[in-house]
Amino acid sequence: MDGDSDSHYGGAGLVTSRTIGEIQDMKMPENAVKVRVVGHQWWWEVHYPDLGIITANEIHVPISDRDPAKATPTHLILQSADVMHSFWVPQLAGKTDLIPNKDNESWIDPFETGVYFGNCAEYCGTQHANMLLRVIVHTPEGFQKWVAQQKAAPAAPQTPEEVEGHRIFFANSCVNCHKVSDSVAVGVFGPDLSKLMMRQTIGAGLLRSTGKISGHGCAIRRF
Amino acid sequence: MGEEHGSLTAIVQELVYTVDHKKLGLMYIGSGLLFFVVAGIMATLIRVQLFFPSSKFLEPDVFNRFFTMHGTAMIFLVAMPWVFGFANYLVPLMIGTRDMAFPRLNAFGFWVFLFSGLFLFSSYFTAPGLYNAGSAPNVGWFAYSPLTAKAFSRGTARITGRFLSF
Repeated sequence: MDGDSDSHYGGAGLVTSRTIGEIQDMKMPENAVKVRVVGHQWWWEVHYPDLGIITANEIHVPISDRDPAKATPTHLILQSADVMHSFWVPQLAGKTDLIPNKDNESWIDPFETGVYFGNCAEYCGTQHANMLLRVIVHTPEGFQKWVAQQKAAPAAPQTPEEVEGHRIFFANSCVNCHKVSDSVAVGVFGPDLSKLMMRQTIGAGLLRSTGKISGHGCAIRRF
Repeated sequence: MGEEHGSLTAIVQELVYTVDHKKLGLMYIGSGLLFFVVAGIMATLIRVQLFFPSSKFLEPDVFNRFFTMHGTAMIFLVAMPWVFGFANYLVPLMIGTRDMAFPRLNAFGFWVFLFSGLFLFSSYFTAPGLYNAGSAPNVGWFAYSPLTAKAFSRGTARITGRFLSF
């Protein structure tokens, strides 16, 4: 580059295309956790295709490692079921849009455990501002424990309150939109509620969960 | 026409009949100022809502209507008319012509802009009423497609109003 601006541009182009090529040729690390995130108006559906787990509004991942041989990054496939959304957890990655009929990808590679807050970053309608998301980074053992808990069959209702809640849920139209594994509730329009009380929040992050069914008034719209 | 010079009727008549590029340029800038004030009031209401977390000052959809209309108004009814206005006023002087190439078309353009702006704002007074801020558009001023499609939003005021302002 002898001060000739054309060759500068040419050089920048070559470096850029080589870098893009290298990124696209990257192999998926063997330990990568694969997560499929589907944006809905106004909540996040979270699938772990390899683990057979479905949850909502929070993504549990194991802590990664700075050593590439031991790293367990999380690979995100970002999809949308209705309008455009944007996945944004500012402490972990830049914004990536969730676009209907298109698979976008992103990676997160956290080096510290804890809770990372995110939200939808592409205006998506009435409750866009309350479409909140949490990424919860566990120790490797903690993540295994979480996976085991998620895969366990839902516990039968115990207390009278739980029995009454169970009866109300299955006696009403709740089952048309929500899914509870191993039951007649197989709806896919709303979030999977099989492990609802294990989540930190309900209502797409709007209310902190008390871990008890009776802690909140009914915030769900009647259909 | 027949009215005394300087009376209100005469002024209005002059504004409606004029094809003068300087007058039209000032009219563009003046109408832009009017919409600027309205958009500014909406911006103030948006900021009041955001002053406290989880504030109940505006309903979600009213807030969405305000920021959509604020954005649309500021771009299409304020910034662009100001650019048109200065260009209308100055460019014929700069290149030494008597007026724009098609003065009547130029005047027509101004009136289409003004009425499209008023038409767009009239959506505040339609269906659910002013406290739910009418059926003003609530899809963001970028109006990205799936959200604006029929399945996800109702109302046509926005599309018509936008169409006219071009």
